Amino acid sequence: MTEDSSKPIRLLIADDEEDLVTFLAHRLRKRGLEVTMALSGAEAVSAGTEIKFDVAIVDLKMPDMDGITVIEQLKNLQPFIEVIMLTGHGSHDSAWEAGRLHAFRYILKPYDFEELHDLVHTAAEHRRRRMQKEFEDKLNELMAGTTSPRDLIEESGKLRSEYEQD
Amino acid sequence: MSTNRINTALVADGRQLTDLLAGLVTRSPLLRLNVVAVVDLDPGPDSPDLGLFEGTGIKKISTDINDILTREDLDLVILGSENHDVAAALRSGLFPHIPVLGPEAHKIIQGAIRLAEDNRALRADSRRLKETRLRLNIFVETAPLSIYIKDTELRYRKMNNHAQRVLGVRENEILGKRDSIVFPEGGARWLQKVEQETLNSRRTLHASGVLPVQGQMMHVQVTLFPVIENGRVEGLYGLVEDTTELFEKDQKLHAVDEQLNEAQKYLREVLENSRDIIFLTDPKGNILTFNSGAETSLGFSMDDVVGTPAHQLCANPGKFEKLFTAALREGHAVSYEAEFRSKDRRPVICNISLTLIDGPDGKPLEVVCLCRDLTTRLRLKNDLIRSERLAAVGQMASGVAHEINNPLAVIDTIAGLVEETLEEEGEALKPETRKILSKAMERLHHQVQRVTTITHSLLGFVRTQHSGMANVDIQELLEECLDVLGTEIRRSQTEIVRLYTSDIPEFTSDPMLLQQVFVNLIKNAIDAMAESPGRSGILEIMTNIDAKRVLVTIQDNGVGIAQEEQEKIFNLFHTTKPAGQGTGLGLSIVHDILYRLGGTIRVASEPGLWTRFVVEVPLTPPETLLPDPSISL
Repeated sequence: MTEDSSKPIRLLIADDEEDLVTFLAHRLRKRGLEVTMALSGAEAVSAGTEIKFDVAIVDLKMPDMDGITVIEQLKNLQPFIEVIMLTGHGSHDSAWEAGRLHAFRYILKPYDFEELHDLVHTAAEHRRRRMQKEFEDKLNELMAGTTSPRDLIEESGKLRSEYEQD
Repeated sequence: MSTNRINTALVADGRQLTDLLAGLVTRSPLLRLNVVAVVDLDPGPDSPDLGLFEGTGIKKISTDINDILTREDLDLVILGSENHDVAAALRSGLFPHIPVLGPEAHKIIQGAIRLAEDNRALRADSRRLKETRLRLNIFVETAPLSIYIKDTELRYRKMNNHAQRVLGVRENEILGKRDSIVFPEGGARWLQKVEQETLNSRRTLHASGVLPVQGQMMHVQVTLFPVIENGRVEGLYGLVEDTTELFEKDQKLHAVDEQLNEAQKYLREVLENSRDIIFLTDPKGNILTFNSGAETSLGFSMDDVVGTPAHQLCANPGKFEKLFTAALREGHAVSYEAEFRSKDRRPVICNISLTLIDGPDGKPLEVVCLCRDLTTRLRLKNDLIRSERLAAVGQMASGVAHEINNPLAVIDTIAGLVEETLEEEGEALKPETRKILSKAMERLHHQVQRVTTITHSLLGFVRTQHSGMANVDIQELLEECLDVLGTEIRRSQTEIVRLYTSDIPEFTSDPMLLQQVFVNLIKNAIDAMAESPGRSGILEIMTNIDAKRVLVTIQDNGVGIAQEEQEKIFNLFHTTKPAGQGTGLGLSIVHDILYRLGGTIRVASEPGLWTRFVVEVPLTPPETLLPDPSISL
């Protein structure tokens, strides 16, 4: 499931710990992932405006922006993006709680690399399914609401390109 | 002699005259006869003796009939003789105006006299009867009792003054009428029933009840007896006594009595249900009663201790006796910290107040011992201290953990990279070098894991934060814990014995926190059993319930905990595990969680044999959760 994808997984890693980002990115690239690095919340959000991501690994606490804001902004930009939240402590503040709700999964540092790697693939697959389901739902909706076959072909074409582009 | 008497002359022969005189003269005043002349026609030995007639007014007995013929005051002549000549002479018209009674007259008169005598006796009887009746009447009319007479149809035949006054009726209004006149609203039916029964049974009956009298309820006591004449029931007498006042007094007395009882009961209940230890002793110090607070705190039942000396309950009997003596002397004695020993030899710290109660004779009767169990308070105080300490440590620990986790993540990631690279491209290195580097990377990874265990459990510690109240099914929760620990249980080949009490209702608590408690305890148990080789681990999980809490007992047959260790195991950073294997956090966290959920945990152990933890969780959580020791970062 994880290796069959024709397109490489597009991943964003956002953490203010440069060593972590550098080496984690390096190892994941070695596994064939397309990785973009961000060392602050702002960098992560600006990357999100330029590049489409399947998955983002986001540190809960960065000096300029807390993880929950980063997640919110990324999700605003890219509704289908799946976020894995990375945290150095099992703190119980509101950001952590909210993050738990927004994130696909949260994991504690230090993580198990293999586990993290698998999780990125799972998240990407999850995203793909969600998109597919939504596409199908919208298509069904379109078919139910549109009478003219020409309209249907035209509209569904638009829809397809919208989702395929993602 | 009075003039309205009948002047009579008696004429007879000797013997007859005697009879006549005896019969008449002696009774002459009664007969209103005034014997003025007596003629003996034939004097003889039977002739009357004048001495007999002394005081009767008869002066002499003549033998000459002419004596009476000359009298002009005669009204009557009684001729008692068969002497026809004389009779003829008298009747011939000598005294045509004077009645002459024949010789039978004296018999008639004798009869008349007897009649008169009988009559007199009758008159006397009748007078007595009249008097009795009068007296009875006076009694009936003046008695403070309602008295009435009814006929067999229960119609009034008589009603006395008192009854009339009480009922507000006049006798003439109700005579011949039934009760419907007297009690138009009804309410006397019970009385009529008893009256009917009196008539039917011919027996005197008593009854009491309430009658509506002039708009008020009157409590009465009634005596009914039948009037029987010639074997026939003619009616009945009713005696009615107003007992309202008596009844009210009785009621009042009853109420006072009830209040007294109530007060007594209340006092008894307060004493009985007080959570304080309260017992009574005699002046020698032997226990008389023992309340439920005492039973709960000390574990003894009342039957265990009644009759035994109270000082036997104390850790230091001498000290108690001293206090007791002081109480007998001074009337009161207090000790702020005394130690009792519970049935299971647990120390129970109390303050004691002894008060002497004197009997009515002024001699010491009993001593009230009121003791407040401070053990819980001391424990709570300790818990609070521990909790506060945990808070401080928690704050620090999570901060430290965070700071360590970041570099650890970097180290681990880099170590992984090196490891991977060595595997993929390590051919260039000497085989030994490659081997030792591989080993080094593996160890580095291992050491990171070790630190991770500690930092993560430190974070787990912080995570004892209250996550949310929900309904807890204890059995389900315990099964979840066993699931979580599935790998460890299988690996250690631990046998799980489930002793669940069925039908424990769901209760409100924090399931996440409780899970953490039981996972910790079960994990500890598995570890303890692993340390006692050669014996297969048996873990017993038992659930119980009482009125206020759910009890979960987790018992293992592991190495056990030494007595002196048992008090410390809940302390922070205290661990019995080998270095690097325990953080000394688990039981602290467990203790802390239970403290905040209003529960408790107790430990008992037999070193080398078994360890038992008993967790108590209240069925209703504390209104506000107790202070959270971990502080948000």
